[in-house]
Amino acid sequence: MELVWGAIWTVEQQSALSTVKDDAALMCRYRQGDEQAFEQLYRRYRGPLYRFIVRLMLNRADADEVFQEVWVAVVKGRERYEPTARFATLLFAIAHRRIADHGRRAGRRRETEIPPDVEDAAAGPSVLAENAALGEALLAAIAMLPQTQREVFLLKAEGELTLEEIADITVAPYETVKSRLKYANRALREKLGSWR
Amino acid sequence: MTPNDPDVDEDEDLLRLYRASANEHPDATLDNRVLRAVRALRARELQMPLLFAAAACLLIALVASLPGRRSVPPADTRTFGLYEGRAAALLGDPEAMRQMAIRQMRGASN
Repeated sequence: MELVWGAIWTVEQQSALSTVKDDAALMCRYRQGDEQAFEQLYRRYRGPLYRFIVRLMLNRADADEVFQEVWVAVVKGRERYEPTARFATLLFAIAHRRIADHGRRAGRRRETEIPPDVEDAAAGPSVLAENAALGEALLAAIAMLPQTQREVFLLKAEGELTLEEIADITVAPYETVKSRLKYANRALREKLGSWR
Repeated sequence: MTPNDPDVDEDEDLLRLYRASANEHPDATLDNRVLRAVRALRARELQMPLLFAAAACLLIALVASLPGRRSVPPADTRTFGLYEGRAAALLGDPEAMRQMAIRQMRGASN
């Protein structure tokens, strides 16, 4: 059994490593003027980045705006991109900064802002039972997390980043990031536990 | 748990459930908006050196066409004939007098 897990882990590692190299190669090609390379990167990361932004900002219109700003910033900053750095780290770091800027600009950074449809779903076991899916319950519970915990969870889930990388992006100590993830996971498990 | 974070309280089940449930993507309108913005930015960046060069050429042409200090060549006094005319008058040479009068009418002075 351990052998099987070891093999899966190695395949996953190799796949992740090749993605990292591939991203760097695509970015280098784009720097040299290959538009197709950018579109490949865009297709690869549009989903994870979008979900990260939407679930962190909890407002689709604002999220659309920030999503566009992030890609424009990638294009503007392509000359500064170091092929040694993971493209995902760069992308999510830009998104983190843009979301923070947007929050400052808007002058409203509510920690527990909940969109109306999510609020209903997270209200309690009976309402959730009506909405059925456990996945929906999880998404609702994520929306209720404090923003710092939500961000760490989403960077892990969508960016597939390590805690070191998340610490760099959020400019927070490693131990802080670790606790945020721990509290986030605990809170989510509690929510799902009460639902089940 | 990953080898990078040996003691972190990770929950693979939560991550799996999340990834299975969260499947939003930007819609086609947003995709188009982003790709158009990026292409426009790129095009502007590529056109910028050309625009600078064109602006520089225009500026040089403009400066060159401005009226500057004119370098007037010194008058060729050899053709004025004034002194010769006066000398001719003194000598009573009618032809020299006529030539002097013609030159003065044309605007020669001195």
